[in-house]
Amino acid sequence: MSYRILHYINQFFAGVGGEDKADFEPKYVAGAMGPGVQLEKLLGGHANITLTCVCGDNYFAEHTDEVLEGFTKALKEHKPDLVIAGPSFYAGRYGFACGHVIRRAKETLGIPGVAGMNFESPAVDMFRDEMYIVKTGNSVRAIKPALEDMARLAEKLLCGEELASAAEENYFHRHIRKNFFREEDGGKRAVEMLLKKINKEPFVSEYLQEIPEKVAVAPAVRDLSKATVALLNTGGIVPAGNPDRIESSSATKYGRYHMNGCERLEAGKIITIHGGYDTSFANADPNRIVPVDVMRDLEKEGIIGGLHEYYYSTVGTGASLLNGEAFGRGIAESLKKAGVDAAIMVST
Amino acid sequence: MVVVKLDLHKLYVKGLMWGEKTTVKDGVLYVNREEAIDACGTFDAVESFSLHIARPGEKVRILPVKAAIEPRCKLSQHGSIFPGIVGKMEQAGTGATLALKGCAVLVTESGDKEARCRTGALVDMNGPAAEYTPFSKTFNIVLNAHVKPELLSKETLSTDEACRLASFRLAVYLAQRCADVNADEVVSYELGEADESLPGVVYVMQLLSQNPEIIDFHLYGQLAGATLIPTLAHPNEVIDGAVTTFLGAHCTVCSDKQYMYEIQNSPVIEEFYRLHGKKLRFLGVIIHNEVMTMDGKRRSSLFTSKLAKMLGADGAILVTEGHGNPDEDIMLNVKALEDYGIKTVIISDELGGREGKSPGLADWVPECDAMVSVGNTHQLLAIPKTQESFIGNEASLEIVRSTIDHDPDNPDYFYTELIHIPCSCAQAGISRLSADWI
Repeated sequence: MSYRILHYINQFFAGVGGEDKADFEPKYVAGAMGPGVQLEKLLGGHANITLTCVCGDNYFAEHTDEVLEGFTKALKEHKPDLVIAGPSFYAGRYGFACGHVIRRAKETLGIPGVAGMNFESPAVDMFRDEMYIVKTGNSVRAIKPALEDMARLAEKLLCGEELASAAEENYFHRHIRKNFFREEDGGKRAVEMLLKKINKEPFVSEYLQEIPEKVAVAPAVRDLSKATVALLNTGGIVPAGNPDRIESSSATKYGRYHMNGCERLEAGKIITIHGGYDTSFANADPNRIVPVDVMRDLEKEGIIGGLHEYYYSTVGTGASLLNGEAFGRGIAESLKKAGVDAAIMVST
Repeated sequence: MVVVKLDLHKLYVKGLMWGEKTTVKDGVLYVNREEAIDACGTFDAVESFSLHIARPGEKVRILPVKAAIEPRCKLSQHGSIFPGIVGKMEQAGTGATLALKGCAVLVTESGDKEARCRTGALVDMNGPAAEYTPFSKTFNIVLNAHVKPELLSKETLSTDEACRLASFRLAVYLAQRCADVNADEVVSYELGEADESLPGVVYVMQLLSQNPEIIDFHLYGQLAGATLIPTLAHPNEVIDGAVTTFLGAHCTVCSDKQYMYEIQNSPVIEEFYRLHGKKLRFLGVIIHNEVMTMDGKRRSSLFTSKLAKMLGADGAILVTEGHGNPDEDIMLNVKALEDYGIKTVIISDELGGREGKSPGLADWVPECDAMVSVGNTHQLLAIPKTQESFIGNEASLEIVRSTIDHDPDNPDYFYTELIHIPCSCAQAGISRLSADWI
């Protein structure tokens, strides 16, 4: 069986004309044309370009919705297995069109797409997370390696072959980390990297991270005696039985638990399922992590307005930052809805 | 005159069987089961021990693996191995040591019915999980401690201490019984003179140090975690077990821990030695404790960087344990060392989330520009629900099983995260796994 590919190109690559023909209306042509002819040869018989969509760059930019509507119709009728768009090199409008058609194909049919762009193309940052954008040179002069990389990637995607890393496949990575086995163990690689760094030779760090955003300290609560205060914790305090099955490490969720008006959390009924600190003290008295007892006293003494009726729990150890941020937003939102004025975050 | 020179006699084990006499014959390690169990001693916290064999490729699951040690003993009169734990209080890293290569003592428990110890650590000797751990490739003598649930409901420390001591005793016992067998290979470790123009390098072992109730690591038998001020060790001391670790209750998730086996076989120490006098000068090992307070972290970092500077280091490789707050130790050390003009490379795993989309570390500094990634520890892996035989505590399965909504394609499989497979994302760099962008 041969896979079906829909290829998107602009007026220039279709041989219609240059900038003067940028208003060219979309046209669907059976089979391959322009760079598609070479692409098809490179696909080695596994796949054929069965339909080519040609559109002027200005026309696409000025009638995006209309073009995409027609494109959707073509997708549904033609049912391709994959879309290739470009390569568009560093072209702005063309790159933008390539990104849009691949996005639409994914939304409509759930099929993958391959584009080809230069790092200077503004479309790279706009679309790289959603699709495979092969790294190309900055002009049509670099078309040969671009088509080779795009064809190889398309073939792998169609055949369900596992892809190597973005660097090896030569596409702009999609900001996703995946595990691979490297040739040498980590220790050997580290020594090699260190010697290069000391000797001022070029080296590639296997990971770099942006400096995390620092969270500003919130302003003080104006009048605590009128404030409803909530208790939050990363110490894994949950009702016995762990009803939400919060993980002991690398938690993927948080729980919200009612205090039922209790004066203090009762040992045995409330436990911790945290996997990263000595939990004997917390299990002996869960109020050490979620200090309901002390808060009730403060409530009676009128130092705080009241204690929020739910406490929120998760496990901090081994958690991903992204999950942590999502928990924070989720908890803050429900506290805000419930009219909570302040929260005490107990971390362990 | 005392010379810090260690001759490591390597005996390669290519088979493992029960036998009347514990010894190695034609590459096969024979173990006298009763004698080996006796060597572990008795403890109030442990009802009894049982001993099992797990060979590469067998359909065996071991869980939770609290310790993994390469069997070793001292061959020379002088010197000490695992000093202060099972060895005498003498200089480690000198004389002759016998190592049974290709095999490991693994320690597990059964009886912690409520999984109080909260440690996972799953070793499958075959199947998908086996790809990720060095302990599926070793011939394993598995010590199963039948622990007391009623005791564990009160405290976990005495159970941990019993398992820890037993594991070292067993590892030394096995090697001692083979002391009369000729080694296959002898490798000498000595920091000979090296050209001063070669760059000086140090190895910084950052080890978890949470609180005195958790057995994080020992230095010459002293629980070093919370009280240590970073100090200097000779690499031979590390090879000989001056630093010992154990995955005790609540310690950390297993793949974030440097198992004893990994420390005994540290690839950075090996590589620094190999290149010593050729491309670099190996100056020493700095033992750094990752403590819990911010001031404590700053203090440790001050000492670690100062030690490196006073040694005249031009470069440092830093390995770590745990994540979250220990990432702060990495970054403080990187900054302090780079500020002294000492080039750094860190080895770390990434906590990238199951989708691989989360930042890998909890913090980062601009000075940190060289990292070796040992993998995204959150990546999911589908593994068989059961193996033909199981050694350990099935209650621990609850910890390693990922609580996700959908089932994998095969109903006989469940998902776990790599973090639950020992040395998968190996913190000291013993494995080849690494994360990369896709």
